[in-house]
Amino acid sequence: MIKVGNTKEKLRGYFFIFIVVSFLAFIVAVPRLTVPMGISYVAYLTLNPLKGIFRVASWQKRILYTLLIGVILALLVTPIVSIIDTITTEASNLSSFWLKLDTLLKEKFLKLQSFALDQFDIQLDFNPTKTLISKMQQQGQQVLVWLPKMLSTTIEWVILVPLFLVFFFKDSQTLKRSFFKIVPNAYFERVYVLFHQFNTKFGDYITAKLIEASILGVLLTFGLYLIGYPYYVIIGLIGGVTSILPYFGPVIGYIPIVLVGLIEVSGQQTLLAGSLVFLIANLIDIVLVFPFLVSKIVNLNPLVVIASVIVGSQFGGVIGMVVSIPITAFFKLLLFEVYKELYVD
Amino acid sequence: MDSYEKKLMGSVESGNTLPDKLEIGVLQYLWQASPLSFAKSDNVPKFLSNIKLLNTFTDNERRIFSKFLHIRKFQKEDVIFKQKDAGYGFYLIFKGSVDILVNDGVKTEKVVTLMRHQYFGEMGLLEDYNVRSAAAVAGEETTLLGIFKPDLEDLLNNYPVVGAKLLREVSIILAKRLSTVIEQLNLLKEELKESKASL
Repeated sequence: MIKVGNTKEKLRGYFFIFIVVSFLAFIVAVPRLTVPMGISYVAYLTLNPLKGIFRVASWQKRILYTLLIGVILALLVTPIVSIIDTITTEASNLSSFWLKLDTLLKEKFLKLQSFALDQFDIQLDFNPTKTLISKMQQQGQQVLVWLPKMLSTTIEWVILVPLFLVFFFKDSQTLKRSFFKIVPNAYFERVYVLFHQFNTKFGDYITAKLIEASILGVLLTFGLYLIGYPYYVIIGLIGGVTSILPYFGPVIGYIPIVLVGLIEVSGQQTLLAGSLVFLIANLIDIVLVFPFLVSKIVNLNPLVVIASVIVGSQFGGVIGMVVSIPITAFFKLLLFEVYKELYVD
Repeated sequence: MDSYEKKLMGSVESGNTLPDKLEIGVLQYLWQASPLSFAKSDNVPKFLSNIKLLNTFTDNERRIFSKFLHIRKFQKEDVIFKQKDAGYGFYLIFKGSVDILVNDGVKTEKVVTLMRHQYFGEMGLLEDYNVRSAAAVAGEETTLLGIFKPDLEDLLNNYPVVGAKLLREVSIILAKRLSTVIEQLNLLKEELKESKASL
């Protein structure tokens, strides 16, 4: 008795699939436009909840919120401005750091060379420092080739990202409504709800990760400062930024501590203290921050998370690693919907 | 929430300046909803002012509510949703009619035909995992105005008074339906008792 779809509805279905496929092809074909567009969209999803809070508030509250945001920004910017000198000093000191690394490598290699000759009668005839320097020179040359392109891309992004962000804030609702007009009736409810869930999950995940990274970065910087560890600001920044990547992030974030500890710090105790600070900061993140902020948003198996991060890195580099988790969470939702439709009575 | 007119009057009385621009969209909506307008009767503002469910809404609240509605068109016998489908939306019949069908495993039976100004699917708006208890099929060429779970969330976040009013009205419908079901259940219990006693 119930007829599922007429010819017009079927045509609508084909047209909808054509539009979706064309849009995906457009994303892949014009990355110069779609990457800044994607960044703006993520920023829009992250900032969008603030719009509702402002709209609901009375004008007195709006002034209060504006003042509050101003104070928070001032609190955030003041230490950043005050540590610019520290960062500049640390960055300029990095050149001497490379020299020290060079000396350390030479020293260790000489020891290894004599050990290999004495114990196994093997002559190690390659020079690690030379190899390192030649590799760095190659990288430097590549950077020089890529620099103009990187600069033009950055300038493009500086112009396009805010432009798209304003567009999303102003017209995203109209755009969304226009898109959903072409969704066939048979799929409308599901597509609409899934789209909304994806946006919510994505925005919430990015916001939660940014908060988590800031907390970890501040903890790490403050802890390293307390024990007098060298380059504490840069290490704290790297630790915070890398923590955005699940599982791999803490490992990458720990490398600078070890490198600086081996080269700059005189005693092994300071390296141990630095490692302890890193461990405590990450434990606070794992026990207190992550369960309350992030884990509720993406309820995924750790193995799935690792696999999706690897796949994400293969297709989209660092950005791919970050966005792979909410995209996987969305696919889980999608698969669950399809499973319900096909297998559950 | 005050009506648009009240808000403007309040601004005038408190000595505040009126907005530089007239909000044409708002005026257009209010004019179309007005009984004095010569606009053809088949417009959304006039339609919404005739919906019983939205009786407690001011014109401005109905205007805000209308921004969250989706217009969906169906041909005769098109399926709006199937029985046991996951439900996310609530529909108002703007034009045409909708047949509500129930399949008991043996045969499909038409329970009721809903006409213009009537509504259905309100459970889909409230429950987390709603399963449609009946199918809805367009009885003729039909236009529906639908509001879905994400829209209700947006409505509650951006216009909490309108969202809360909608939830209250939907809750009243459900409460009435529940009391009818309880009444019928009690009647059936009594009938069962009587038939047991007669045996």
